[in-house]
Amino acid sequence: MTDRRHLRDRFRDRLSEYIDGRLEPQEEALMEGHLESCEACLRALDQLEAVVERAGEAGPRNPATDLWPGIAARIGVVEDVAADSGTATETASAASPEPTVVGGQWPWRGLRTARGLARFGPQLAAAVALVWLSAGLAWMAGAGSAGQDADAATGPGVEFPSLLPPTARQISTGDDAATTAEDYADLIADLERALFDSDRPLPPQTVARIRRALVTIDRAIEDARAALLEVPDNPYLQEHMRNTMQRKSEFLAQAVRLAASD
Amino acid sequence: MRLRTNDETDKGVIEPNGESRRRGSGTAAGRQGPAELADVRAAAFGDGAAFERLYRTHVPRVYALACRMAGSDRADELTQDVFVRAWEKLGTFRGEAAFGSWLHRLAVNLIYGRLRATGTRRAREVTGEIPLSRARARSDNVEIRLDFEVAVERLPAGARQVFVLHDIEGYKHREIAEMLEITPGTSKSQLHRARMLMRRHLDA
Repeated sequence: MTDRRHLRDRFRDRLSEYIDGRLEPQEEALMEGHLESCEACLRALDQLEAVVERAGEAGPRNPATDLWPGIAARIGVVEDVAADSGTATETASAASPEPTVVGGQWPWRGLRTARGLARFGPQLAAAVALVWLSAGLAWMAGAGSAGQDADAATGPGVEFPSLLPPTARQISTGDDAATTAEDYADLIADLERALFDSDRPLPPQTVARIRRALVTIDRAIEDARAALLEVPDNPYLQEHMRNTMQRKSEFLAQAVRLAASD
Repeated sequence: MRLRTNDETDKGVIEPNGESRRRGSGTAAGRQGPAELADVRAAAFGDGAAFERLYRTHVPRVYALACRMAGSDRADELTQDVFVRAWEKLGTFRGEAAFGSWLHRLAVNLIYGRLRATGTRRAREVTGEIPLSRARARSDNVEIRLDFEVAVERLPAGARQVFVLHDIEGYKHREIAEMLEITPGTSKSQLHRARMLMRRHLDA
């Protein structure tokens, strides 16, 4: 009697593995032989299969209350009651002044506070680095605010024409035909040469900071490029890509101006 | 006679997308269209509206996971924490897996981490099996479903977590072992224990 019970327990303990198809073929054959003669194990098997089946039917569940407002508050975005789309949210840009941006529209409109800024990962870090480094460079150079646009950065009144490459002037004057990918690459290369290969080198710490910022900005550009490969027609991504690339060139242009002013 | 479950993926049955099956995952986990990818990218750059769309798509699965792993009393709080953490970490999402899978893994890690931190796991293991008998199945389908959920919540913590991840969410034992920092053998034995306890409930 005890032996039979012990034998039954041994088989019962392996029923889950049998259900999951994890028994070796020999064990499986033994199990099936046992099930033919053991009513209790067969019943247990049916019940376990019902449990597994029921679990497989257990689907997603919606919370009783909408959790989004709480999440939105914690991440620094608030619901826009005036929004015409049903679930759209906007940022509370009025809550604090937006970071000053060199040219173009600031695409990270989800930002509310500096604390919020820090949460957006490397891409946003690129933006933060760019904005504040640009602002800092402009302030240090004492030549205009960080909010000036690209034309102002490289246009009339700028006193460092010898350091700014011709491509920078050409593109920043709004010559659309010149703003091809090739021209952009030329511009960046020229600016980097002007910045890093100058006769008047920047302090190593400044160079290191600029390079770090550039790495982060490049990562943001790569991310945008990868996203555009997936959804090339997305207008948000297109504009974001264009803005990010533009900011890189503007950042470099300002850094060049700083180098020339020293 | 026997069912074929996600464990057969351990034996080499690979899903088309290279991921194990997610039975309880509903619709959102494994699929990722261009629109969702665009939302992920936009949200990573701070677009709150895009993140809200991601939230709306994925909250049922995350909430269900939180209910089943930690109990409905903590599910709201944990679900919010998961999405806040996801927002913070979106910059690290590289797109190698579907966003839903990435989010789900993040949710499992966060919820399990919280349970460990608060000692809920140990407490529930101690009180484990008794309350199951109170959650009896009834004839009405909705009630049966609710009873099933109650029964899951009342499983001992270790068994419950493995049961949820394996039988509901479709993870494999080696994945569960990695997530819960246990051995695959423990995962298997906890699963069997959970099923046996659930069997008593459903048979009642």
